[in-house]
Amino acid sequence: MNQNEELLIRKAQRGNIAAFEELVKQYEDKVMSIILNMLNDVEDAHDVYQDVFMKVFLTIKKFRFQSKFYTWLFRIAVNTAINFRKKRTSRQNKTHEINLEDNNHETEIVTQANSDNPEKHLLNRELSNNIKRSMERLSPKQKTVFVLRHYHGYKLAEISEIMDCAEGTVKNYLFRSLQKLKNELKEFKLN
Amino acid sequence: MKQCEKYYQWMWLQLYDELNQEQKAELTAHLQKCQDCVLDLEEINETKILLDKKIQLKSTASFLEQNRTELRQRLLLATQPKYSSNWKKKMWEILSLDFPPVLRFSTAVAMLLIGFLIGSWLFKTQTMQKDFHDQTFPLLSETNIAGIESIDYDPQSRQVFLILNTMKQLTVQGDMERPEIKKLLAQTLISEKRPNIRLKTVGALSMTKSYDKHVINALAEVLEKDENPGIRLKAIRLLTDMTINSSIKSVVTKVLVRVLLKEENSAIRNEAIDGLSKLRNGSFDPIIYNAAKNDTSEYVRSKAAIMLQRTENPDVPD
Repeated sequence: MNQNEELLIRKAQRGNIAAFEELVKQYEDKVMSIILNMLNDVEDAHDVYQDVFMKVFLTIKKFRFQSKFYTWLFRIAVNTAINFRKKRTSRQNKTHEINLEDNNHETEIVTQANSDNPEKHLLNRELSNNIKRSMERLSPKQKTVFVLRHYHGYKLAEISEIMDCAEGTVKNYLFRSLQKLKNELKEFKLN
Repeated sequence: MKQCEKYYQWMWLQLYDELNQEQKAELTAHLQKCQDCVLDLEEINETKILLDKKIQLKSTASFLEQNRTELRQRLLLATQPKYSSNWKKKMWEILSLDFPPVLRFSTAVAMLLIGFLIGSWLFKTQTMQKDFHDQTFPLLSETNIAGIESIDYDPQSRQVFLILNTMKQLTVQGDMERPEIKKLLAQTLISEKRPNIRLKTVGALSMTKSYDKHVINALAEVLEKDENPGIRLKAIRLLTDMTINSSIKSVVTKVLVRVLLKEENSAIRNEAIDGLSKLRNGSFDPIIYNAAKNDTSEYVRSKAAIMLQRTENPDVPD
């Protein structure tokens, strides 16, 4: 944690909104990205973003500089997203179908594959939908670990700190999620 | 095979660079001699490639800006002082019992205790024991007594037990000789409507060794007005049996004469003659004479005649 960040946190702890907004600017992209990948819904991500940063603002006084700020912040983000997803699932009481086309009004879609070839792009889109459906079948914690490790590149040690659990447990969540995804995507691989 | 399971997990971890050097070397050595694991590794690599192809949602700068603007408004709202609504919120919290569970439980227990204490204070039956009746008897004069619920007495200990109807039921226990007890009994004798209670009251009064004016007046009123002859009979026996001192002699004499003149029941008139004979007062001889001559009961007439003889000649035997 650099000195500037520590200063911003201390100011925010005194209720300084401008300092808090600086912190928000520093981390909102990563937070939003995690939330989007966990919820796969722009509207939901918007709600969770608001909840996360309001929680952080209201509880920042409790931050004692004993851990990295981003792990503390991401823990709040991850837990809020998990709880939101649980509520949403019980509310809808059905499998949430993800439709990428519904989300493109607020977000730009970036593919890691080469999208110059339209046919290949279409295939990627279909594959992407399949992967998302498969991810929806993971447990909240499995999905969180997988998203943080595979798509955000956090080390297992960092994830264990974010999720406040043992590294062995995180390793197990990751292994189980990969196993499930491999089985779910077997058919796609054969094609 | 069990060993391969371990390496299978390691193959996944290797993809994410989560193995240390020793584990990497061990895995490489294993893959060189295990063809199944090599095939597994190929599948794992294929899966990873597939997963990498997932289209990533990425928020735009405008989307983040829009979120941040909304957040700023919420932050400003959250930090605005709420002096006006604070007391309303507190009141609402209190009225809706919006406390933590522990505080809510404590409040419930406290309310139960307070209710129990108030209830026991309002409805408990007060017993005035011998030990403290000196402090509580004076209170009787200030207490509005509606009547007596029940009465009992113990001739041996000479204790009277009364349950009084006041604002709350009051139990009184005391020695027969206490003036407060005598006064209570005298009042009961006059005002009580239930004959059994009046009868028992006369019985209780029979334990006393000295009679005050309240008791004499009450007995006189019973003899004059009580409609129950059994009670009148018991009352006159009490009056005639008591030790009459000079201060009440004239009062008792008047009562007995009135009984002799007005009482319908011959047995009671007979008791009155017995009482008068004990007083040995010559002033009422004309009345005795009248009884000896005109009383409707032969027994009363003869008894009155004997009394007259005894008055004239004290040597006549009983």
